[in-house]
Amino acid sequence: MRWYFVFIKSIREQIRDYWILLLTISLAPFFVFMYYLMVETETPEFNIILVNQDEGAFFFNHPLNLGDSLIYYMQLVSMDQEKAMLHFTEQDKRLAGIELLQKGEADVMVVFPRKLTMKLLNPAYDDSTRTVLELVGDVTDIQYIIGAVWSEELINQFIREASGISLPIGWKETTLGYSGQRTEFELYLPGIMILAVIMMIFSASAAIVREPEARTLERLKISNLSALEFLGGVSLIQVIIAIVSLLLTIGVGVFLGYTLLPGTFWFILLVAFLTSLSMITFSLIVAAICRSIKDVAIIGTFPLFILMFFTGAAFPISGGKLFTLAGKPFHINDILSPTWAVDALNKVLVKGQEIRETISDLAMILVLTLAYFIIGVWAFRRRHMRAA
Amino acid sequence: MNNDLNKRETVLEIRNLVRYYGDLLAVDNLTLQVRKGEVFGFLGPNGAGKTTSIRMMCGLLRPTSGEVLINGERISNAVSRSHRPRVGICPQEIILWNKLTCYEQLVFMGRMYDIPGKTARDRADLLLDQIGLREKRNKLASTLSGGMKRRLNVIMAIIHEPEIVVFDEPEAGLDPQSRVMVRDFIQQTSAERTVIFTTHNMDEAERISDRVAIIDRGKLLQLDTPGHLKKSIGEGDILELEIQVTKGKSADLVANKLYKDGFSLMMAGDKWIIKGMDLVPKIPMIYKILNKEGIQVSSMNMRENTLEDVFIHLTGRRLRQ
Repeated sequence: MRWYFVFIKSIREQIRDYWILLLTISLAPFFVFMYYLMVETETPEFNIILVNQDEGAFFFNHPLNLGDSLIYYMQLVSMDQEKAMLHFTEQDKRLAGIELLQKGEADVMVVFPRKLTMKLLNPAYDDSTRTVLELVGDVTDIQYIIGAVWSEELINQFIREASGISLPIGWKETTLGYSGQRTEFELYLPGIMILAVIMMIFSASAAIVREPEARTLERLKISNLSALEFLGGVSLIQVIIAIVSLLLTIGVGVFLGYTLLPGTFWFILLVAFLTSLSMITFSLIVAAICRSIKDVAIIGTFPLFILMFFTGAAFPISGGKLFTLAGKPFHINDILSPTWAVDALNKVLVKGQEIRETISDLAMILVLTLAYFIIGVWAFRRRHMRAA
Repeated sequence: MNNDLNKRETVLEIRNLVRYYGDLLAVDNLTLQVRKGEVFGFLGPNGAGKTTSIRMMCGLLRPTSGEVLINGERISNAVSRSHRPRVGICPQEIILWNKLTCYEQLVFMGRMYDIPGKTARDRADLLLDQIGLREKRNKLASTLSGGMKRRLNVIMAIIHEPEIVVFDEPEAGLDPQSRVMVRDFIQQTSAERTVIFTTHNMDEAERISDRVAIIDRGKLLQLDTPGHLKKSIGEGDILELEIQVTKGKSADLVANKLYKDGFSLMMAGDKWIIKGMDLVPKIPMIYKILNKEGIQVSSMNMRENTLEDVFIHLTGRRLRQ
């Protein structure tokens, strides 16, 4: 029962330190809210500049400029509901377009060549060269990549229609699971929830390290309390705080437009709960290394960044393959439990898989939690609970 | 008292205890025995190794070599759980849970030693009463004054009624009122259990100890009752002089002259201590000798032997130097 008295003591301390408690509980919902404000929750927009240098030609004694027709075609197509995210603007000069790209006011610039009409009317014209359309933009920017693909597709479509060429193949897109129905915010929310749980490392480590820092642990070291009882009591309150925080996080997510699929609430809660357990046990390792809350703030950032950026919580990522076991490849980041949590949530909430298909992910979270716990208790006992 | 003490059984025994911090030898081959029910004082200046010694006795610090036995059982290298309730420690620093009330932390510590709930609650109230903190029972530790915190720190050591209580500099930083309260409390505590305490305050050591171990630079210099320790440097009076000016080898010449006249001289910086039988009528003569050698005295004090004199006799230094 000693762990229970440590738990009661920790509750009292947490309630009396209510500012820290409030910050800890509100961190994850606030994070989701901030993320909602940061990302576009509506259809994304791509601003494309069209620079027409086409000199045109005479067709049956009438002047014709297919560059102008192409611009008209693209603007017309962009009014279509599905392509409403594309915004085409015409610019006279290439340099002016580059300036807009540099300022971030446009994503892609397409420059039509001088002989565009001549070449399209008479493909045999000036046989020595092909006429070249130029794409300009920051190739590292995802906005550019998507905008360029769309521009290329529309131009090809126009040329096929103008020249009367018909391709023998066609394309059809089938979205996996619910990926086609989700907004960007909804697609990222599962990872963000896990990210919010990862952030617990600070508060959990600080709660554990508080005792050695205040040296109150010395009193406990010479009492009958064991390291396991102490850590159990301190951790239990963190688990409760995590659950409250998670319920609020899901609530905020739903309030901001996240569509909770039937039967997934308990699944989300289960995954997030297991992950929070895992993060608390991970905090034991951090707390074992640290001697003060200041140490937690400095040293704790190292595992925090690794967990944030290499588990797929902040953005999708896959690590290098280490080995294959029973046909399943194991990656470097598979030793981090949030990787499995993000995978499990994405399977059900995005890809539309059954909950039972996540059993291996949940099992891995448990195995890793146990491993962190064993290492954490061993390290904490060695560092803080033994005679110096 | 001494004869009675000698008959008592040993509750704590230290054998050849050595502790290094890197290259620094903090405790040098310390061997001693503490008997049941005695008040045992560790007297020494700051950095003498007192705190290191008691931390090893409680199992908070591992000795480099040597061993600590409580009731004949070795505890040095692993803090065996069975020994834990037998020892209570009041550390030199105030170690409290700032966000718990006085009452809550006493009860909590009691529960950590498996004291039943009601017993822990009753004992907490009793101790708060004894140490004068009854009115602060439900106040958070963080809201107490420095003296009150120290008093609470003291009673935290005995909430589980240990056989041996270790107080590390219990009177340090206390106001006179709290000092009296803590001293009375320690004496009251010693009626039921063995008390070990460290101090660099000779007055404190002399007033409350049954036996005193004088320790310096990690070494045990002398261990006996305060009375015997004082006698060990001789009976008689002490004339304490604060010296203002000395010229060249005059100090040695004075020492020789005083020695020939049956006195002894100990010098600790600008403080000279002249010791001898029936000193009062001889003060004019001593003053004349000093004057002749050009030694100017700024103050003069006549008193009986103290433990500080014993320390100066043993080390040539004052306790607070």
